[in-house]
Amino acid sequence: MTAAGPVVRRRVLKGRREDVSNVVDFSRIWGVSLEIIYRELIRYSRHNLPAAHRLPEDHAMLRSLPVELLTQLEIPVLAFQEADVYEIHRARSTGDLHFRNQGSRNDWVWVQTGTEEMYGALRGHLPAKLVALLKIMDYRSDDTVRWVAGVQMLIPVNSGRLSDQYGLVTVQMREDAPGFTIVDIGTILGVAHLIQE
Amino acid sequence: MCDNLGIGQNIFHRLDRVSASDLYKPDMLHTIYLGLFKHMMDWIEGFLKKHGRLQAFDDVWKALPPYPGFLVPKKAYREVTQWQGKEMRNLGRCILGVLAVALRQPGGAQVIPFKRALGCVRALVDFNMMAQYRSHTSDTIAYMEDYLDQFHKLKDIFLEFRVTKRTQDKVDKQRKEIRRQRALVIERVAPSLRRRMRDDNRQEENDLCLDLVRGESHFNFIKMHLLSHFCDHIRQFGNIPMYSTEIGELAHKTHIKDGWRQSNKNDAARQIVHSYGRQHAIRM
Repeated sequence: MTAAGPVVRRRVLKGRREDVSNVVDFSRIWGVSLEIIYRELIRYSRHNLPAAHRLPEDHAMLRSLPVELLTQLEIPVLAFQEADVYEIHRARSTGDLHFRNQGSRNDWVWVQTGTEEMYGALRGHLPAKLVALLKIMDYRSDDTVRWVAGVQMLIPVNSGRLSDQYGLVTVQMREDAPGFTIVDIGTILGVAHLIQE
Repeated sequence: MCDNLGIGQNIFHRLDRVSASDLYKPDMLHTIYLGLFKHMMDWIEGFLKKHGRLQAFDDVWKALPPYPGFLVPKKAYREVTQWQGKEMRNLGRCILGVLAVALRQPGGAQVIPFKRALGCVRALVDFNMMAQYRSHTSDTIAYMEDYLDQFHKLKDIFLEFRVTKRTQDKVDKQRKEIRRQRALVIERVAPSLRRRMRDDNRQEENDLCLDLVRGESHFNFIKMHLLSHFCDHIRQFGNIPMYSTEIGELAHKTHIKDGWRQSNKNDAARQIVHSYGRQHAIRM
């Protein structure tokens, strides 16, 4: 006899762009240098993937991996005080393309980057700007598809402590600006609502 | 007791097993969204105007980013003439952040008033957030009580913006009288001293008017009082949203207005009742 467990909702990537088929295309269209992309992919691979399934570290091989660029990520977020009701957060990253005849949209998202003790009131989460959504097919490893996102991480001011004046947490762009970081799609927890000064 | 308080009896007071005082049900839509939030926005507008931050507030308001379930405002705050309950609920989600940005980098004398204003708004917003919970523990109710206490402690910062027409008339009259008396004094003073005296007088006049406004204004209105019953109501009858009239008002469109449109307007009541029942059965 089997008991039906709770339905696990998965993230969905949508809105494939036809003008990107590998890392080089992505670098050209997004204006991110190839060196940075290679460095970030290798860093991501070393930190997140088991040794047997890591991405190649050779630049020529990385360049040959098929890549899909997408514009929308659907994230199921458990509704407040509910056990089986999900809200779907649609995070969009249109790059330089217009979104519904208006400006481009590169939404803010929450990324799980550490343990709950980190970043004060943010409890291990950091907001980031969604720059790109990518599917990278690793043909050397049974055609495994890696879902990753390119983000610009923000850093908390005052170690994430609440401001005395406002009672809110302030975040800011990094000044040393490694503008582009690659993270696993699974670490993106939902859309963030930031108010810009 | 009702007679002592000058409250008239109504039909419910005489029914068996009915406690008249429990008949009131807290209503999020009219008490908080269209009540307290609306009042609060009037106070905030006055506060921002006084401190020259109204334009900054409008700019931040207009540039709010999208978020799931959040209606992005298309107009500046001051351009909106009529607010619906849904829009006020939306406002509750972002007002604290927008206000914090509008009040950033305060001058030396502004630090304390800005902090108090933000604290007051934060307490009301937090109270509203917790009132929306669909299940409560003794901790969450205690939080609600704390937020309400905090709101009452800090709301004095907005007292001068609760000016009634009668108070405003009094202020105008007092201002006119002060100016008339000062004009008589200034005429006798040497011209070189007049300018300095006028500046001093203006400051004194503003202080006197402010004292009058503070003396005449108050927060004693019914919607402010109703908040004090929310926590007891939760303890006795459960969560607040299930009693909110918001659901009834939304249902009015689907249950009544759509049914009326679909009827042939002849004996419409019967058709309206059947119309919704039929549609609901098909949906199931």
